[in-house]
Amino acid sequence: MTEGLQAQDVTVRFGGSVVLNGVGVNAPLGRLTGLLGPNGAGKTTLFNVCSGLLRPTSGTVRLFGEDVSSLGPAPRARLGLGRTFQRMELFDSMTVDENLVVATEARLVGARPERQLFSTAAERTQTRSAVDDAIEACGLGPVRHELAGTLSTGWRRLVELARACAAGFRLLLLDEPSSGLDGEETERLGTIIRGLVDERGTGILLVEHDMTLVMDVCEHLFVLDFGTLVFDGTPAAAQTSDVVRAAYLGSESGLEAAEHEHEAAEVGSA
Amino acid sequence: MRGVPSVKDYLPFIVVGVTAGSLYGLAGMGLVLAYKTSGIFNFAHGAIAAAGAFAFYELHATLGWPWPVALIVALGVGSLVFGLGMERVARAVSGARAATTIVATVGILLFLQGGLTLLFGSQTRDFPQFLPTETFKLSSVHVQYAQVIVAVIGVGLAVALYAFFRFSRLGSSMRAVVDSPSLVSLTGTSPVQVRLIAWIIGCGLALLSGILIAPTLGLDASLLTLLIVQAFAACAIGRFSSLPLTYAGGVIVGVLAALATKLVASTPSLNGLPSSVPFLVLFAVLVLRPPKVMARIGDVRRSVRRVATVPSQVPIAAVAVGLLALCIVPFVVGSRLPVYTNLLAFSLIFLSLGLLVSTSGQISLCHAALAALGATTFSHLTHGAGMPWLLALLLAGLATVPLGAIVAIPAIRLSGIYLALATFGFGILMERVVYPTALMFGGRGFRLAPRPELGFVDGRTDKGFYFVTLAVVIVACVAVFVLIRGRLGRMLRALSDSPTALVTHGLSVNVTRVLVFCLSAALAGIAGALLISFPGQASGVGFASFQSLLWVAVIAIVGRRVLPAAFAASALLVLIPAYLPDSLLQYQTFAFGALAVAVAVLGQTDWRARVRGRSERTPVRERTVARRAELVTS
Repeated sequence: MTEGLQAQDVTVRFGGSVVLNGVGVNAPLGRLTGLLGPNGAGKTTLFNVCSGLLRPTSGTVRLFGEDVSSLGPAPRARLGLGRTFQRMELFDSMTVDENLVVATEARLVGARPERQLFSTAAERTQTRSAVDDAIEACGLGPVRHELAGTLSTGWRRLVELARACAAGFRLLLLDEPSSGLDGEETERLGTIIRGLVDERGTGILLVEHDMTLVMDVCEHLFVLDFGTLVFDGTPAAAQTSDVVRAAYLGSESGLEAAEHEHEAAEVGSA
Repeated sequence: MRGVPSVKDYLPFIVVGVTAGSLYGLAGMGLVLAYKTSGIFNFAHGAIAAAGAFAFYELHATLGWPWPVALIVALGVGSLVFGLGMERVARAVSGARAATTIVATVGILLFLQGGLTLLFGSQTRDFPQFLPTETFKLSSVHVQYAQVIVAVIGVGLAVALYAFFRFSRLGSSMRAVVDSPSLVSLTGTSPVQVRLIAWIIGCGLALLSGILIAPTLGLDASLLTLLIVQAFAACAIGRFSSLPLTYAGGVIVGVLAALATKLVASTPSLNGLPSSVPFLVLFAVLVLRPPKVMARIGDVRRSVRRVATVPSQVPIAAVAVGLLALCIVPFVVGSRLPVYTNLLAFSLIFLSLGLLVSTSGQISLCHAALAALGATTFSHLTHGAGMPWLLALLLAGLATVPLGAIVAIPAIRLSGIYLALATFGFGILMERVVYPTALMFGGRGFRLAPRPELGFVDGRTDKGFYFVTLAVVIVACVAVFVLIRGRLGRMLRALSDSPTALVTHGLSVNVTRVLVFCLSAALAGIAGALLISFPGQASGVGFASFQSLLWVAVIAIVGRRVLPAAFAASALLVLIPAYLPDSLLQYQTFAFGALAVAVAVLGQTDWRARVRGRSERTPVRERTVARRAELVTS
């Protein structure tokens, strides 16, 4: 297994409440790993810990074999860890194209003031081709010159994903990339992220509520409940796990329900 | 007097310190109260205190009302008027970026101070102590009843406000409004009303502190306005959130300043120390205890409007016409040429400020100090060390960079408000402590500097100097244009949209922020060098800390396109007054203050959308981003 991101024994307390309790997950390169859990289970908090936006109370984060626990978000990004946000953090007053350019350059220049001032011709060519590839891969051609802030949620999710692609991250944390998307858009999203893993060997950790998407694309699942890891295994095993069922949808057989819905949809479209 | 100092020696200073400190604490509590509930940090708080003192003086000393009546009327009417006014302004700018909110309250400061100076003149008046001045002996010290009364009022109000917030219903609504205005309105309490009450109490405390401190300080609009620095320091100790701690902070600042006065009496070389105590406290808190609570900015409502700081196409025709006009100026304006040379030098100041404010959304309230450092460094290098003019000009710019970095680095880790606070205090510290030293203007209070002789052009003539200045300005404009059209400009625009996204893509955004601040400082330094070289000498007066505030107001008035704004702002400050009768000059501060407030308030409305008949205030997408600056550290 190729080394990627490993969060070990992460505990986060906000005042008295324990948001994450000794959680460990790993997301190797070339694998699409799902992170599930009901609202408030601590998924986004775990993302914030992994990307360096939040210091955990205890626990370590390793990135490509290196302990990055003491690094801030920017150095972690420079090592190759990218993320998207559930609430979408776009550069709203800039065009889609500029969004991608800035993101690519951000990773390129990092903390060096002289490179923040000027770009070289070689860098510009490199940036251009990375941006063009990402726009192509995510199908953003039609909107590339529109202001990001004016786009619909579906496009915005794709812009955020494309931005991370252009920056060339080897490991991506995607926080509910399909929320607010319609069925067709979700399917396209699934194809794109599967493509990233299969063609580029990117490692992805995916937080998602859309069961269909998760079961379709993920190779491995982690399930969180009230800040505790309750499941670690394959999607197939998750479907039959009572713990997951209880945690995720109470007594209802949620995953099964989602499966049925999926089948019904397939029958309907056939 | 040498030997072991006993407690007795210090007691009188402590009494004075506690009295003054109680008033700083009162002012500080008012500031924190309004800031906590509205999210707007009121730089005009000291000016409101000054207005209170003048109003009370008019009623009590001029009209002869008994002091309790005058006090109640001044406080009652004053807090209503200022509370209502401040709440309106604060509401209008509440969704705007930090720079806009700062400009709005700095505008009010200028407006009030300018207005008071117009009405009452700028000389300090005696302000009779109206509280009983009889004394009693405490241990070996004579203490005035007035001092006791002031301290008791301070402690009493601190306790009362604390209890009010802890135990009353309105108090808890006020605390709730800070966390979530929308939730508060869902429970049937109007956030606007709650904030209005906070502003009224806040302004009331400012007025009271102004009235009570005037007998010791004298009635002077600018002195009273600067009371704000002590209040800032008190707030910093209270971490901009705790009222009792803010009061305690005020007392600490007061006592430290009084003790510093004693120290200075035996060591005259530390002359500036007492007045710089509040700033040192403020800075120490910002550096040593960057509190998480301070960094929370709350809900930011933003609109997607492309604010063009640089046009996508260079308007070649406009640039050519402008250049041509500037080139023929020396041949048509006759004896007014010095005005135009100043216009060019000041356009460099505004280029520097515009670069900072418009592109990065940061604000500096100490640009006059940066320019002054450029001017004195230039004098040392040329007049002192005999260095060539051009080289000295460049070095004068470079010399300001470390100074800019020292101010900016601790403050930039926090949010926009704290950079403004740090620079505001720093400007005053420089003016009071460093300007008079040999490092800068020295004991005589002014420095000399030569004009250039550059072979191809003789800068000793007015025409020659005009063209040298023009050349420097053109080079600076081109450099700034290239920078903000390129990578740096892109980074800065992205930064104002989403610092979080930029950080998670690998950019160390604080490096970017400090970088822009340093570039801006360098430009200000060069401008300062031109401003001393042209007349041949300069004193600290032209670089008074107050100028920094005026400059920020002016750049805010003219808009956000960096290059045209630099010239427009310079014309507003330098050119237009030269063509107006001198009698109008006294209205300048007042008018610039009023205009800056108006622009900050009206600028929040998208007029183009209004004209097109849209009802929304923001055109495309409104989103609420709970932004925590603590997440944006790298």
